[in-house]
Amino acid sequence: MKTSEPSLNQRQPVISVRNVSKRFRFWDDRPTSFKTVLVNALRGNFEFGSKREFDALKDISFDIYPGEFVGIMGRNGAGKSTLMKLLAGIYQPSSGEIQVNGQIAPLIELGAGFHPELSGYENIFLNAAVLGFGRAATEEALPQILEFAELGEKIHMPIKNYSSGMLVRLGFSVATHLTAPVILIDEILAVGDLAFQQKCIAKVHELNKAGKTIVLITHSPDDVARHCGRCIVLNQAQKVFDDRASEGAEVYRRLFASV
Amino acid sequence: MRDARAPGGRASRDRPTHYQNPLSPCCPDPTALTQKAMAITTAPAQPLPEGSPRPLSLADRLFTLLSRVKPFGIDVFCTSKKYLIYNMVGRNLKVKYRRSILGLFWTLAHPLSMTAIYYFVFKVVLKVQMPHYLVFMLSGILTWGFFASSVSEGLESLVGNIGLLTKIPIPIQVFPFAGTLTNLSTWVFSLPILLGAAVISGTGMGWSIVSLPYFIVALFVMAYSLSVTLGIAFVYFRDLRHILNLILQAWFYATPVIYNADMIPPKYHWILFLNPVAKPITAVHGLFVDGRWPTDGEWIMTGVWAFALLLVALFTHKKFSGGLIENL
Repeated sequence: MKTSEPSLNQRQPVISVRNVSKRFRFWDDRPTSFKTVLVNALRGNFEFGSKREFDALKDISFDIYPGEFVGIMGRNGAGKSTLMKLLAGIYQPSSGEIQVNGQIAPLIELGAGFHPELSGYENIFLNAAVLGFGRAATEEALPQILEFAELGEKIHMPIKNYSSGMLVRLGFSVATHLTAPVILIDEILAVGDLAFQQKCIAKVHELNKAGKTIVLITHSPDDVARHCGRCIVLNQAQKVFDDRASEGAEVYRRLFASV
Repeated sequence: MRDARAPGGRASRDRPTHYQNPLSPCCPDPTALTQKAMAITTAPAQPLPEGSPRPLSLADRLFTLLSRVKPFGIDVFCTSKKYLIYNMVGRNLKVKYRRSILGLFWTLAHPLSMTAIYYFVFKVVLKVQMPHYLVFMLSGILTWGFFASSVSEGLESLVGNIGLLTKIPIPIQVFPFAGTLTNLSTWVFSLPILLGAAVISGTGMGWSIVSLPYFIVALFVMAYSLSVTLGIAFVYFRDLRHILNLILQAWFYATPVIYNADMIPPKYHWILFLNPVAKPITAVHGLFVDGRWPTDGEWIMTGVWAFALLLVALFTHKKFSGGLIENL
């Protein structure tokens, strides 16, 4: 981001990730007989089926400072979304520690909690409440939300009659007008028509300029090189790069050029 | 503005500002007084400065008290998510009643038709002799219905909201809480029917009805606690759906909802103490039919069971909520 502030890295990090690992357990779907379950239970073993473990993230550490615009890249299954959910507090790390100073707005899905039968207007309040905002904050942001969503009179129609583009506009509008100091964005910019995508990216930039910290998950090295100040590349559950965005985009391209 | 020089208009304009009503010199000009009053009423409400003491209503005090109750760090009564709960209950009610002509009536139609059926079977066919049997059954079925549908819906409250729970950090108890609260509001909507039936039927309903909230709140706590416990268990054991349907069916007949507890042979009365909802339901019967005050056993056992079930829910939440989301 704007490195015009010399004290940037001496500030308190907003997100501090220390040696974080995340291990998932899977139970094979192979059905075990009731007898086996019963015998195991009598022996004090309450696990059913065979268990497999898999590391989604291994020993990840990094700090994110206020005002940064960080891109997180990696192939499918590299652990990007797991990292996002750990930062958002949806998952708990298996080991290590995550410290978050201040409020975080995770934009993992646009329009979380939307109900198809309710109107766009009603869904704004529902969505805002799901995202953790109160009545006062929602009502204050309402005019801007309505303006940005460009829905006009259709805002009073049930959203089941909306096109997918309209839904995205509404969801994005709520998500970016009711924000916390730290915003986590998980691949939601790759939706809507081109004009709206550009409007979204411009909006995210605007938020960043206004001092918000942005963590963006993306597959696109071009996006990262163009928008982010810093880039973290994940590969096979590990952090392989964490530095300037333009270099990160190159690293990502080289890593996955062969596939 | 057009030249609207009404008679007296000039006079009032030319009037000196310190004009006093000649009839009562001590009083200020009445028009000035009106203007002053207007100015007061149209003045924008001054926002109270941050942190200034605001007069607390009883509801506010209760809310503050509830928000301090955080066993194991669990926000049991979802006070930190007040606005979310408000919106979710609003959504549930709106979605239920929108686009149906009879709206709210449909929710009441089920208990009402059940009452009609049971009334026919027990009163007309089996000729049960009990005064105000209709009010008796109606109060029992509506109250049991609130409990049973809360628990039944609560079972799927977590699994059914997988889309939200895996995307947004939300305390899991919010979903069973909002669900139980929705069912409670349906019960409240049915209250006028119940009170009306009791009045028309001329039951002994009297001042003891003020103890009704205690039993309803206790039933709310029981239904909510069971919803949390079962909702968490359902994530791991999907067989529970079928088991619970059977249990609720048996539970309905094991509870004195459509029959009087006195009809149970005395040697089986201990069963009523093992059934969490038996005592609150007999108490509700008593309030609407005889107007008697609840017995000591009803007061105590209702409270004890509500507290016990809440403890079970809290322990389950504490022990299993950690890895819950990734197992959904």
